[in-house]
Amino acid sequence: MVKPRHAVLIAACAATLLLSTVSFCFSIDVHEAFHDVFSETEDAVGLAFRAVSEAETAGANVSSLLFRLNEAAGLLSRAEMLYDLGDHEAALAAANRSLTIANSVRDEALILRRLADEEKSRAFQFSLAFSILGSAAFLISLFFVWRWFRGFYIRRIMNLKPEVASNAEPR
Amino acid sequence: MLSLDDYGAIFAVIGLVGVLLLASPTLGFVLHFFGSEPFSELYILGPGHMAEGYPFNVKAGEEYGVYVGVGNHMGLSSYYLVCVKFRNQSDPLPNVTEGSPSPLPAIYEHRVFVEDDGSWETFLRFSFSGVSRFGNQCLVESLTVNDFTFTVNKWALWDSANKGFYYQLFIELWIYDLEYGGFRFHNRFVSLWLNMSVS
Repeated sequence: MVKPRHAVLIAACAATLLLSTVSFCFSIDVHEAFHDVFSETEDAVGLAFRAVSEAETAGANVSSLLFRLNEAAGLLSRAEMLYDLGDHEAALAAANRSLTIANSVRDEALILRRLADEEKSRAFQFSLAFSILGSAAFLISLFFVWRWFRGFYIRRIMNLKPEVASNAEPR
Repeated sequence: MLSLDDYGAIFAVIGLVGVLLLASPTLGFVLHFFGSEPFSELYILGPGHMAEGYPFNVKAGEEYGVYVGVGNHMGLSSYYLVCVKFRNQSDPLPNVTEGSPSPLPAIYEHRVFVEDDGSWETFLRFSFSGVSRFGNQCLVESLTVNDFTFTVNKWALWDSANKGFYYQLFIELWIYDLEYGGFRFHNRFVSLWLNMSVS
């Protein structure tokens, strides 16, 4: 028969063990959750940067997107430092906010890139048409100028009177 | 006087130059000329925003500050990671010859996107706490950077030649490599020697 004092001790030990286990499991959950979100956010910021770079290469103005990416990057750095300092909830919140911004920037960058590509394609077509038509018009004009100049030159040559020196000594 | 053939050659050259000029807008889409060599800047300035007045003699409980800046001349927007590290005289620095960073962990970091030909600058505030002396050794327990306090527990030996306990706060620049899909050390770092006073 277990004495009441022992029963209380056993119950207290069991409760402590249970609390420790729950706390440990919760701690693992928080760690895993943060690492998952942090890793996902890092990837998302990297992908957003890739999309912004491609949009920039296509000729889009990406200043506003970079401004927002800076916000996402700042939150990501903050999340990592808060996590290292033990403020897991704030770290998770910062990482989640960073993830939202990065995803939104990536979507906008993809749209901007498409628009920039279309604009570039239009500009290329316009330039090509201008170059072809302009060159053709220029060459045709030059041909007519050449024909006129050639006639002018020949007429001028024909109108020239040879200068003959009657007393010239034969060489 | 020039012959008709000479005039013909002049007209041909005018025709060629004209066609090239008219084709230049289209050629601009196709041909890409190499610009200048891409590079990034990393600099550190004193609290007066000049290359002077850097903190040197430091002690616990006082706050110090320096400006840290990054300039982007890479030809495109870049994503940088600025890592702040803290070392004593025996801890390794980055190896610029090999292009490898210091293996020490970053105590503070800042990720930043900088436009091409743009720059970014921040004021870095730092202070020390838990500074104590044990014989010819000095211990710095924690370092606070921009309100974030980190435990460093860094020992330094008395430097008899320079008469002080010397630490170094250094900043490494990393750049995001799109092909690699992550940050790589950009082979640039700046540092600040600190002589720790123990009262």
